[in-house]
Amino acid sequence: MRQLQKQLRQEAEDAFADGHVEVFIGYQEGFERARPVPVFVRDRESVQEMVLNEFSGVSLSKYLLREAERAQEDASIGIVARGCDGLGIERLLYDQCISREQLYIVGVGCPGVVDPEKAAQLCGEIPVAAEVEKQQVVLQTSSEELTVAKEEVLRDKCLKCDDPTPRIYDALLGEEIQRGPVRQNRFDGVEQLEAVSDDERYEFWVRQFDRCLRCFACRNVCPACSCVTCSLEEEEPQWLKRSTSSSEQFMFHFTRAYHVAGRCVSCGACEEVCPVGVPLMLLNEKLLKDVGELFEEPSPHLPSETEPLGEFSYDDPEGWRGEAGQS
Amino acid sequence: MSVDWKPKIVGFACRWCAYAGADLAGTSRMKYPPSIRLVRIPCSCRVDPSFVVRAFQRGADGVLVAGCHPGDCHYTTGNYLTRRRFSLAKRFIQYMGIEPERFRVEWVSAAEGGRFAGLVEEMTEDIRKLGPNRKMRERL
Ligand code: SF4
Ligand code: SF4
Ligand code: FES
Repeated sequence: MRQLQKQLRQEAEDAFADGHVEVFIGYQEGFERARPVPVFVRDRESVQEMVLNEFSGVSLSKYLLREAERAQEDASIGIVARGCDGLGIERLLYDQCISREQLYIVGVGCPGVVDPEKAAQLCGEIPVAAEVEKQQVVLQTSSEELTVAKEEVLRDKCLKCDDPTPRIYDALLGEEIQRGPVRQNRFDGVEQLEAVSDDERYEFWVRQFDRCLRCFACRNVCPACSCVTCSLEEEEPQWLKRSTSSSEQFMFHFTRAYHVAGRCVSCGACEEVCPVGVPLMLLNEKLLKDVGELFEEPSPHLPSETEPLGEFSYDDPEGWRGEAGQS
Repeated sequence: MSVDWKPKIVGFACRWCAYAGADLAGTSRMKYPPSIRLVRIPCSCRVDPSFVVRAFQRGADGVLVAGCHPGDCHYTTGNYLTRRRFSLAKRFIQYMGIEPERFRVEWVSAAEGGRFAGLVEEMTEDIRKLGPNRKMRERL
């Protein structure tokens, strides 16, 4: 990774030197070494602030929207992208929020990103460095070195990753990596939840949604959520009240998830940014699973030309049949 | 459960087929439970799935979305979109914990007065067995 960071800075510097990027979106050091934060580099001198390491993995793709609005007409925007951000960028491209010509994508073949919380659990303190190796992860704290399994310490989104290398890029750091670091079955969690009774499932969601602060971070980070006026903030009619009663939480979470049904690229960003750990991917994955089952659309991901909910076929099934309550 | 509780069903019916079917049931004096409140809509695809959530919030015990049979939509393709959306939405609403009997999607033609009456009867009976809905409900 150290090598890749050097390469990244070089790529960014060259891009500024050629004068074809106006801003470069990447990571910089945060308060703690294990929590790098986004940075918007606007000149060649600041390139040295950029970092790329085992912890720099929060989603960046949605910032492109904002930067595209600010950018001069034909200036391009640089961005460093792991596989998941590659998916987010594809989503924004297919939704015509940004144009490909405008982007300078520096892809990373991603071995997986370390979750600082999980690492702290394992080490008893936040590690200062980490190395993702072929089979395991080595964590470095102020006093010791710890070797752990990938499943234990990589971010949740990495455990289900199918595309560690972005499918589109202008430059690539490191090698193309084809397989995700672990690849757990994407729908395990959904299937477990489907198996319990309706009442238990309802209680489960009440408990989850009750924590929600309605900060909208999940929506703001989502590359599939790009409407200019969001229905959740509309006043007339007011679809969502400001109240965080259980009832309104259902309206919120139903709408957030359903509005990206068929368009979610399962980048995992929403769940990752949630400050209170609402399992948002359990909602998204249910829809992904059903889109795949019912309409045989490529699912998950592939924001290709198909729009599962914007098209139909004459012999689509009636997905409401077959279960109790309706034959 | 109070003794005099009766199921309340909100029905969204497209004006061209399903609403006309309900009308036919009425004008032919067919008997069916007075549990359904019909909302007339231009086409089944006018129903945003969040209408269903809203109905449950505001006290419905059941929700019915009814439109023309596939191929018969007045706007040609509206109900094919309805079919996709509600195939997902029905499963999703159940995934959030609402019993499947409380929410149905059906095709009813303008000639199917009897079928409409039968549907309402069946749904009312199913919901009666489940009792009043409290899920997603706004506190009064
Ligand atoms: S809903 Fe979540 S996982 Fe899906 S595209 Fe949006 S941020 Fe990514
Ligand atoms: S990020 Fe989490 S707390 Fe914030 S609105 Fe989304 S689910 Fe609620
Ligand atoms: S007009 Fe009846 S479903 Fe479209």
